[in-house]
Amino acid sequence: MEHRQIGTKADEEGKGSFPTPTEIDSRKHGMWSLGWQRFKRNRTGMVGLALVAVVVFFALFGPFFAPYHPNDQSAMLEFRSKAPPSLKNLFGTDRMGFDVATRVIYGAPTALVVGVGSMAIASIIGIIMGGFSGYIGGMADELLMRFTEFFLVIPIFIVILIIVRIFGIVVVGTALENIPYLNLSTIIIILGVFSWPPIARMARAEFLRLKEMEFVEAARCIGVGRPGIIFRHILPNAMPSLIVLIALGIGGAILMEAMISFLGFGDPKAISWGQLLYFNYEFLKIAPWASIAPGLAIFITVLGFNLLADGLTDAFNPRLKE
Amino acid sequence: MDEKTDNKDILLDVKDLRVYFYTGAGIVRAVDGAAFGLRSAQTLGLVGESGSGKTISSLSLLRLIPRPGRIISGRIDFQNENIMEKTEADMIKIRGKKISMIFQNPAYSLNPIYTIGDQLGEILIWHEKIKRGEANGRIAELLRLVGITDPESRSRQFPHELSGGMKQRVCIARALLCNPALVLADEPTTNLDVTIQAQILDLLADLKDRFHMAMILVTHDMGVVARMADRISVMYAGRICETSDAGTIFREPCHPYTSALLSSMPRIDQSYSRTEARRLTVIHGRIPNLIDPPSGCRFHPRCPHAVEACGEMMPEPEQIGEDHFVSCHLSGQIRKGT
Amino acid sequence: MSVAIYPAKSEKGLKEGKMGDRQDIIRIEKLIKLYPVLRRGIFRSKEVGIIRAVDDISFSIKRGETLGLVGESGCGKTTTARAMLYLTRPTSGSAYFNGTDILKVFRTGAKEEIFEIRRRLQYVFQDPYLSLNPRWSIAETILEPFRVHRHLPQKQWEDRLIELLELVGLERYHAWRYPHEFSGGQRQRVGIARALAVEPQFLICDEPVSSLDVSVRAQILNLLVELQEKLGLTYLYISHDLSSVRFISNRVAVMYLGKIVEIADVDELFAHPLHHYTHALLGAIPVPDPEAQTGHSILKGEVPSAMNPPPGCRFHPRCEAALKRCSEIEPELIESGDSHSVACHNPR
Repeated sequence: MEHRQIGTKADEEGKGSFPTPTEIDSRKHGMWSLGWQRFKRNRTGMVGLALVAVVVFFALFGPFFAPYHPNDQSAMLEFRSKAPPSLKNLFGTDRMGFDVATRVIYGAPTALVVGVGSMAIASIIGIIMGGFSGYIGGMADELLMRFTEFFLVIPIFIVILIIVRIFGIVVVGTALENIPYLNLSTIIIILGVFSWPPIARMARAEFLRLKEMEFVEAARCIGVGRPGIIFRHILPNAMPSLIVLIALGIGGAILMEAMISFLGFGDPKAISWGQLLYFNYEFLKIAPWASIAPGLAIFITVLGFNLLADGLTDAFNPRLKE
Repeated sequence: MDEKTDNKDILLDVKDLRVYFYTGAGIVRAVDGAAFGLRSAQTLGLVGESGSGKTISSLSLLRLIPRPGRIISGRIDFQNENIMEKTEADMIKIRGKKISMIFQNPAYSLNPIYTIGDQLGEILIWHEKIKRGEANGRIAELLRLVGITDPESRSRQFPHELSGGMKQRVCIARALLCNPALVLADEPTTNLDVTIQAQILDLLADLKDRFHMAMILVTHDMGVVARMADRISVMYAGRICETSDAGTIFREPCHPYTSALLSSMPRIDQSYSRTEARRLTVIHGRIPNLIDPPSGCRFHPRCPHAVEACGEMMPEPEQIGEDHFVSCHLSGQIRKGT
Repeated sequence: MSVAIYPAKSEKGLKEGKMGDRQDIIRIEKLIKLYPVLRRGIFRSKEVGIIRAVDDISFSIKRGETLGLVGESGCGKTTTARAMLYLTRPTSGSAYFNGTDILKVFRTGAKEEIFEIRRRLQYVFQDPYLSLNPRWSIAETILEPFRVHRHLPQKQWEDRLIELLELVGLERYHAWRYPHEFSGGQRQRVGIARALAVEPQFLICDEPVSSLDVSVRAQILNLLVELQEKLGLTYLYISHDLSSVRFISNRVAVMYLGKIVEIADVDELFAHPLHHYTHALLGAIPVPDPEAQTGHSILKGEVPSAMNPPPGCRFHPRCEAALKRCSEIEPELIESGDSHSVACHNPR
């Protein structure tokens, strides 16, 4: 950041005409572009970003260039199932003749939908609960926090398994059965609904910290009403910390879904990496590639999000030395 | 310092001190060629604003520069020994014993989980290897000396049970425990109320006389330095602008920064009721960036007297009076009011 | 040891205009702000004490003048300012602005009325680093009052923004920069511009230069004076730094532990302080002049806790001239001489 002196007109930045209010709004990248610059210097974060970008790429465009159709079992008919990686099948085939590479690619969008979807739900619930709690304070705050803690204590994993199983049984024979990806959606919703407590706590902490800041007082002094204060002043300043948590949460949600599917509770019609493990782990000795590939995919994705979160933490909380 | 003066009495002589910080954003030249010193039992006021390098200069004397900073060069002669050549083991014996420090914020410089007595006792026991009982006696005596009543029970209290003024008294006592030859006081009264500040300054003046100790008082407050200092060195952006005895600095400042600083301060002993009087003399601009400081004299972009040479060459300290050193190309031509 | 009396070195010049004829723009009456100290239980909280932060103070400010409010930490000066603007809810009392009790309006008034008041009275905050939203550009910060109050049609906003920037000594292109790119002095200018955006008549300046470097203070102090002259503003200037108070104020009120102990015209207060606390306060300040040294402490002890103030006159335990009645009866603020009031049983 160069330094300008006011006394001398050393900084001639004649920028022509003055920006209009709309132009001013579009320049909102000030704080974010600064964060981006700091982020770029952080190697961990950039590695994480690269990994995530790769996953996103495969999720969006993978299906277009996947070598086979995910449900193509032709290899079985050709007695090529459980075949090791070859030129025909980059990652080999699994026990049912599916091309492993294709299925792993098709697992990417599932993973992202689960991660992003559940965190979206969790974020909305968490920010509303935590923000409200932190802002209002008092008895409401106490009650909400006890409620939050209650949710924290629930063993999410077991509850999800139970609900998914029950739901699966209940739905058989009803009209609901025909909704595509019902099982997956249920998983996403439940993951979301149980992942909000950490976000709520962070949101509450940020709201508590920010609502006493002088610039918020100044806004009150000017006459800005409560919604203005919350949405235009406090929330944007709370976002950096929340984004970090959300990034971590996405990784966590993907991992959760993988675990659920691995235990057999997943959505049989959806292609997810956990599912692939579920189908193929029994054949680990015979066709290891069929398990390694999806396992690797999970590892890279979750690692990517964790490193990204790490980098974001540094970017938003620079440790200034002077 | 001047060679001609009596060398025996010189307690501290710092020459060409450079301390740089190697940060991600660039090299911060916090202290860039500073020279100052004092004699035994003298008080040197090190005056400057934020970023002037005064705190770093005093920390250098104890070789306590935090990373990513380093003392690049310079000679620090304390009691005729070069501090720069000492090992860390030597320094540990000096810190707290021969040179001690009083920090700005007493709340932060006392450990909240130990009692006053424990903290002070730890120092005595470590440096002087005496028993706990004897240490307690000396601590009580010293606490009484700094104006804390009922020192025995105060010793058993924790820092948070004391007021700001009392905490600072404890910090002063802590600095005096081992009878140091030199005390570094870094803005010791900035965080205190005015009336408490006056009490603490009185205390320091009294202790100075009683213990014959030398003191470097780092501050931005010209009033405090006028009250306490025998000699004053004015710092700006890592360099010393002017050094002289207190009277001269205030009566005949020769460096443009010194005189600008003095005339820009509102005075409590002056009336501003007349319309014409209701403007202060302003120093334009702001404190320079230490990563990319102005070329030549650091003050030249803000100096009303600057000429071309000021932006090209860094002025070196020149002696213009018996004990008056100025770093300015135009020194000698500038007197207060010109 | 002679102490602390500062007759003006320059001749006692003319006061600006006919100060005495001016109207009271602000009149505070019996303002009280109490903070209960609670011991929190599971369901209920028990009150174990009360902090009497502002304890029944009254004063007035004339249009166009600056009242300096001084005192040490804990005296209640910032609480007074915040209570006046309803940034904290005062426990009781009135604050008349041009004859209307604004505290009443804040409590029970309609939204438009409150809005109107928020335009007329503004606040300049102490910390230039915290009082600006770090994610907003300067333009957004200064334009927000326009957005909220809509006192100008949108197409005039740009011009008005430029005007404001120039008024406080900033450049046009500063508008789209962010707070972290500015120095403390510049940020403070932005804060002042923001306060002026709604065209207020009255400005509370809460320690506006305390966080700034010494060489920058003069710039901001000059700016405040200039703006007052140009725009006809009235100021309440709060500070613990008496030299800046002397520079900018016409009248000064001294607070101690929630009460006003003395009010007088500025030169009169510094030359003839009547209250012993004022006298001690002035005496404690080190003057930047090695010859004329005061700065000697004549005040012993520390400021007592605001939860249990001493009975009678709150200053009596530390006062050298305390009489018996000082520990029994609280002194009233009585006018003694030319617009000089003091609350003391035994004034100097």
